[in-house]
Amino acid sequence: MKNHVYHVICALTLFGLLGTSGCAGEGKALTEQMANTEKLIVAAKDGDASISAPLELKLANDKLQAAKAATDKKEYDQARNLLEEAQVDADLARAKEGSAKAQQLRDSIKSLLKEIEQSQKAQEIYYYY
Amino acid sequence: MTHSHFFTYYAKRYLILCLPVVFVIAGCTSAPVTTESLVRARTAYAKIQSDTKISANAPVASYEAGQALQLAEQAKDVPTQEHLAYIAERKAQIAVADAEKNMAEKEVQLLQKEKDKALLKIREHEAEMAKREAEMAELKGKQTERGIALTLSDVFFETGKADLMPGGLQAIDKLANFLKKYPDRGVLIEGHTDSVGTAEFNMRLSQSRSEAVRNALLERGISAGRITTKGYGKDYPVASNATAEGRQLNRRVEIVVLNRD
Repeated sequence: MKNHVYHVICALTLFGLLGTSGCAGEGKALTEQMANTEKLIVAAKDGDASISAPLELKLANDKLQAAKAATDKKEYDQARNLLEEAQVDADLARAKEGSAKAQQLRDSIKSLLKEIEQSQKAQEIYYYY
Repeated sequence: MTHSHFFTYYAKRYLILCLPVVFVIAGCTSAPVTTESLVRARTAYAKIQSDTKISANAPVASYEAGQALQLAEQAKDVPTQEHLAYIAERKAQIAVADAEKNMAEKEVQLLQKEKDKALLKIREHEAEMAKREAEMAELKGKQTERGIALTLSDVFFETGKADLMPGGLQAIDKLANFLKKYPDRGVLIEGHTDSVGTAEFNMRLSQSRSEAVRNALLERGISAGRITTKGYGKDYPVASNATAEGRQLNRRVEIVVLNRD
């Protein structure tokens, strides 16, 4: 009987350890990842990615919400995958936004240069010498 | 035997033995199919590989895209493959966007320099124009299609005479200085008279007046080849010949500093 009790205690301790270490660690890491993803999405939105990459931004947002729901259901692997995907969606939104801005700037300088050149020509025509 | 008792018993005995088997099985299996996501990830990465500009302008993102694709290729099951392939595709797209951004930014830098140069040229041009306008104002000239037109102020003539009076010499000095600054511009000197006397007399008189100015310019070092003179007689009055003041205004010499050809 003594032996019996010893086995039960051992087993319970073992499961308990496995359970707590799995849950607590996972939960904490996920919370952190979730906060990071949220930050990425907010940064992308602030950078006007909603204009140049609205779809990527929406996907990121939807996956973040889905990851929250999965966490509530303790589907941690699913939540982690969703967060990873949400992160690359947000990253792509930022990258597309940056690309669009740089290209806009380039185009506006180009047209400004054209205007300058034209006005120079006009000046040269007006003044004969 | 209770349930927990049974489990503990077997766990103790076989768990350690079973672990390596589990690892071996996991190591050998790979996803049975190539999912559509993986195909998309490969296509996205192929774009990076086929365009050297992308890896040159976004080296880190391109490298990361390659790593991500490799992970996806090694996925052990379909859901993992789909997940990793999605990440890989996105990373490849990020590399492309980053490269586009960097290329545009490099262009912006070059264009900025070009713009600065062009603006500097405009400012220099404007400064030059301002200088010339100041010089024209000095001459009291007006920009016309032929060139700068002016009537030599204070250069007056007595009726029937072509001699320059000392009061007008300063205006001649200014004109000579201007012509020295622009040695490639010719000058047209046009003489006019009032209505006193015959047309023939006035025609000769107006020619003499323009030649008086030419001689004054020659004395000041302007070469004869640049000077053209012409007399117009009394036909082009600028004021009424009925009054003494009007007649004095009509006894005049007009100058056109010609445009460069």
